[in-house]
Amino acid sequence: MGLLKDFLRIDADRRAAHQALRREAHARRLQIEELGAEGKRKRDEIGMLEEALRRLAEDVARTEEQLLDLESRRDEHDREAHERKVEAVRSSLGHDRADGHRIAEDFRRLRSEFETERARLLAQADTGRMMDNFFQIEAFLKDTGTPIPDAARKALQKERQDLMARIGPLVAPPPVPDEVFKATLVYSVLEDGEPSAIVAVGLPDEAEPSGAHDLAALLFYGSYASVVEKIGPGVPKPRREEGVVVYEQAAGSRAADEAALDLFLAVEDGLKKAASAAGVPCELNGVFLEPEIASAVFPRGGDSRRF
Amino acid sequence: MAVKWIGDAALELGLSPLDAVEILASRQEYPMNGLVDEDRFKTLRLMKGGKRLESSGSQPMPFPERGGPSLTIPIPAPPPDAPGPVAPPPPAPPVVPAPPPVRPPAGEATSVTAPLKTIPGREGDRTVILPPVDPKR
Repeated sequence: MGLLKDFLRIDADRRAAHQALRREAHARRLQIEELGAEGKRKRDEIGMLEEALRRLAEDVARTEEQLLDLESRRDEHDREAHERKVEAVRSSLGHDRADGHRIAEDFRRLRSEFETERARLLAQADTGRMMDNFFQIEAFLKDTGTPIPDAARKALQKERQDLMARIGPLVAPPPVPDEVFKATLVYSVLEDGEPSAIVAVGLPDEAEPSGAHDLAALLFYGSYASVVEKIGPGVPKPRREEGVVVYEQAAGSRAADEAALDLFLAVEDGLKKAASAAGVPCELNGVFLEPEIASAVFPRGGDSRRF
Repeated sequence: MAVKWIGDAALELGLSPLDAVEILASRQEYPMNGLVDEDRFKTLRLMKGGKRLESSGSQPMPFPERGGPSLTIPIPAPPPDAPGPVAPPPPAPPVVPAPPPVRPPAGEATSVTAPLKTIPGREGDRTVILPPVDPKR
C-alpha cells in the first residue's frame, strides 16, 4: 500500500508540475506575441518616420532649388538692371545729342538769316543815315537833363519805332533759339587698368568746317578750353564715341573720383560759359555713374574718333 | 580790328581747331564766343611751332664760329691814373631802424581772415543760366 501511495503522490506531483509548466509556456507565448506586436508597431513607427524624413529631404531639395532659382533671378535682375542703366545712359546722351542738334540748327538758321539781313541793310544807301538818326533819338530820349514836351517825345518814339522796323537787325542783339539747351553730363571712374576719370556729354556734331554760327562747335571748344584752363595744358583731347563727346584723363597720383569730379566741373563750367557767350540759355545736370556702368558704356579701345 | 572764327584761324595757320583752343586756353585767352581777334591770332601764329611766349626772352643765343673773325671791337684799357693824395671817406649816416608793422589784434577778423558769407540759391544745386534780357520787352 505504501508503494502505491507513493506512486499516486508522484504522479500527482508530476501532473501539477506539468500544469505549472504549461501555464508558464503559455505565458511565454503570450509574451512573444506581445513583443511581436510591439515590434510591428515600432516598425510601423519607423516606417512613418522614414516617410517623414523622405518628405523632409524632398522639402529641403525643393527649397534649395527655389533658393538657387531666387539667386538666379537676383543675378538676372542685376544683369537686367545693369543693361537697363547702360541703355538709359546711352539713351539720355542720344536724346541730348538730338535735342542739341535741333537747337544748333535753329541757332545756325537764326544767326545766318540775321547776318544776311544785316548785310542787306548795310548795303543800302540810306542805312547809315537811319542808324545816325536812331542813335541820336536814343541819346535824346535817354537824356534826362533835357525836358522834352510830350508831343515831341511821342513823335520821337514813333520815329524810333519806325527806324527799328527798318534797321532793327543792326541795332538789336543777335537772335537766339527759344528752347533751352539741356544736357546731362555723366562722369565716372574707369578702373580697368590705370584708373582714369571720364566725363561724357551728348553734344551735337559740329559742322565741317565749323563756323561762328555753329553752336555745337562753340560748346565743344568752350568745354575743352575750360578743361585746359582748369586742369592744365597737355590734357588728352576729347574723343567722339558714337557721337558722344568723351573726356578721359588718367588720375595719376590723385584719387580717381576726385579727378573725375574736377574734370566734370571743368567741362560743365566751359559749357555754361560757351552757352552764355552765345546767348543760349542752358540747363546742365551732372550724374555720377557706377564704374561698371561707365566701363560698359565707354569701353576702352572701343570704336572712337580722336580729334 | 579783324576778328576770325577760331576754326578759320586754325585752318589758316595749319592747326586743328582743338590745338588752337588749347594754345589760347593754356594762356587763359580763349574767347568763349570762339571769335579770335587780331592779338589772339598773333598769339596763335607765334605759338604754332610749339614756341611759348614765356620762354621767348630766354632763347639760347647761337655761338659764333670759332674760326671766324670776331664781330666785337676790343676796347683798349684806360690808362692808370697818376698817384696823388687820397681824400678820407665821408662819415656814414646814422641808421634809423624801421618801425614795426601795424598788425591787428589777435583774433580780430580782417578782410583776409573773415569768413565769406554765401547765400544759397532757392533753385538748389541745379545750374540754370537765365537768358539775356530782351531790350524790346
